[in-house]
Amino acid sequence: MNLENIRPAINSSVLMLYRVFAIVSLYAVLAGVLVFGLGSAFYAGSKTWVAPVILSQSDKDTLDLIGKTLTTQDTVDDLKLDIGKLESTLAEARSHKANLEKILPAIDTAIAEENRHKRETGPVLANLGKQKTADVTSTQSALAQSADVDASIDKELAAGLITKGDANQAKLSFVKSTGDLTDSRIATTLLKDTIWAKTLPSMTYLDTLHKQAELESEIACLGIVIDTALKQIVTERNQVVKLDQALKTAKQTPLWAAMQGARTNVALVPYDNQAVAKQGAPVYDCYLSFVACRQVGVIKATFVGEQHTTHPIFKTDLRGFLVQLELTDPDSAKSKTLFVGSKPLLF
Amino acid sequence: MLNFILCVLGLRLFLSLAKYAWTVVMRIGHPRLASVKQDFSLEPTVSILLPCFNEGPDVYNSIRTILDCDYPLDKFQVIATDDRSRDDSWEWLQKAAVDFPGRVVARRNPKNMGKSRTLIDASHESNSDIILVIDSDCIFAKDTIRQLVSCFADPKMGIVGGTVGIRNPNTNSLTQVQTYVYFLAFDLWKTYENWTKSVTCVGGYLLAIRRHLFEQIEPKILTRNWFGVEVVEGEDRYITHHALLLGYDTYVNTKARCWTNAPDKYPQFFKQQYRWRKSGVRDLFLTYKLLWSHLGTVHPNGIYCSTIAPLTLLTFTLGIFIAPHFDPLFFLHPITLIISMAIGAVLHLIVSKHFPDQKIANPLTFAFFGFWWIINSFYLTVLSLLTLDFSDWGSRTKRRVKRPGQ
Repeated sequence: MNLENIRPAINSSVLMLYRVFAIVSLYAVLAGVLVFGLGSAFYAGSKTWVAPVILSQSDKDTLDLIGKTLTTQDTVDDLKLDIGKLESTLAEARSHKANLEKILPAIDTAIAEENRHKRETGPVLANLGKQKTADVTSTQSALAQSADVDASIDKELAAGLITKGDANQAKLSFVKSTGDLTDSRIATTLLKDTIWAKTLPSMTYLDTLHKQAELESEIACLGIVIDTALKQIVTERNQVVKLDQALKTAKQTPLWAAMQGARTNVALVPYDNQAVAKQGAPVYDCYLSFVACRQVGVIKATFVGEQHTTHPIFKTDLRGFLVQLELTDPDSAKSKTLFVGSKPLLF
Repeated sequence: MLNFILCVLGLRLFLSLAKYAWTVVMRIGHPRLASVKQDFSLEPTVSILLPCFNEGPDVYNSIRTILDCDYPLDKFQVIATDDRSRDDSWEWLQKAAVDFPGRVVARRNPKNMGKSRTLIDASHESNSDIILVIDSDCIFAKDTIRQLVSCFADPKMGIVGGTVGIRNPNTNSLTQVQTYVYFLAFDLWKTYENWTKSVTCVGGYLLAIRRHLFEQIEPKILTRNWFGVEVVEGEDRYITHHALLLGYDTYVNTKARCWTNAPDKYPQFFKQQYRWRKSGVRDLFLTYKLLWSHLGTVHPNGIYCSTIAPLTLLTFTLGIFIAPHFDPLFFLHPITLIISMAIGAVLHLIVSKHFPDQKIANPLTFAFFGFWWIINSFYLTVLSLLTLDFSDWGSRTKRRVKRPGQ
């Protein structure tokens, strides 16, 4: 068969196929351009769309939050433990300080009493000492004058003036007086010690003062410990409050919700569309971008804090906040956009 | 897939930059590399074929400037053919034939036949050595014909073209942009192809071809079709391509200048660009169909310009097609605007300095070129690819009536 003979048929077939392909392609391109143009115009003007995001425990952000939350919670627990220890220390220090502070007046009183007693007895003893010394001196003089008594007694005994018994009696009396003198001297010396003790600061007194100083120092140190502990407790309590607040804030984020469950459906609400994002507001999903829509859930909660994502249509940076969605159809979370409040085109 | 496209686009960018860098080097430092031997003593007979469709009085003005050329009067004639215009073009042609007796032949097709067929029929009216095809609204510089024929000193030279400027550069932003585009196309792109004497498309606005070569190609022109559907547009590219395949050189003499009216209305401009793009797409298919014939006949640079460059353009089209998926507003990106403005500023300086008649009033309009370039690259390429079974001249269909003498 000659190729030229069948060429018209081949051409006709190819041409028909080409035309079918071309028409379909052209209409597809045209439809694509129109849809893109209409879609762009729609999303540029719509105030009800939100961009759904699916969060799960395995998300990087969720994992980050889990790590940070655990670290924060550990810090809070450590701080609370530390505060407990500090409070115990504080109580002990306060008790100790109070006890020491009770001792201090007693010491002061004792010292004062002792000083008063010294002031009272010291001069009396000093006078008595002086008198005793004078007595001893007088006794000593008297005994010196009687130094030859022994010889006189012997002479009188020899002369028969006195009996032997009387002589012995007289000699014993003299010896006794001498002994008394010695006793008086001893008493005088002891009295001097007593007077010295009563009139001059004693080592005991100094020891007492030293102990008093130590006690006061210890009380001061305890005061410092108490102040420091108090400040530390205040600081740590503030820190605990802040960390608790941070944890509380974290618990208000969708990531926390994601931590608690396997999957959390949220949506980023652009600031331009924030008016519609209220708790309980109905959420719609559309079969064809923004037409043929049905309700698929409600907004469960709104979260504070700015979030960024990529604009689902224009691919630019999108700023807004997140809302948690309660979806009856979980697959709707996979849509590019959802609508809040009402259907975008009433159908 | 995306990486592949990006790689191809990167390669395309690299090759383009290398191409333009080399072009600039040739233009500024080594102009002889992109020139041919010229013999100004050559005075072959020339038939100027002027097909006309809805040109109105412009065709008369065009004929008048052609006849003002400094070429020997007995060595050239104008064969003007009206392709059944719906305006008064035929009357203007008749007036020209009356006003310039013996030098202008006025013809009229029995029915609208398209430019290709009109040219062939008109060529049968002459027996000159050189056939010069022009657009009916072109006006010539005095030395245009001499500049063109002087390049035929080399017997291997088959086709010589010239550069075209805009007659209405400041009509509106559209013509202003086209002024830059024409400069880029004829004074840069063609220079690169001149380097190897393998210009892939000598524009039909000013195309000089040896008669015997034209006659060789004529049967192919007459039988051009797309799976049986007659093709009427893009004959200039087709003729050039076949001249290269027959082993001839093709060249654009940038000193041979003419001026044409650029479309100043968007539909008209769109149709023109669509026609040009479609002829480029057709030529790409022709190239691949006859790729084996190119080897050893066409210079490798010519093969590159016919194969790789358009192919990467198609890839670029695909890139633009998928770009909205990643960045729908990419065409509004400041970089697009800045690059357009930067290129525009450079072009403005060059054009203003070297081509004062082409200087435009508001160079800022070049920013528009960036957007048009995207539309042109994407939509027109796709449209061309999908409408190869449809032929329409397109850009000159508006009826204008202004009687001779008015």
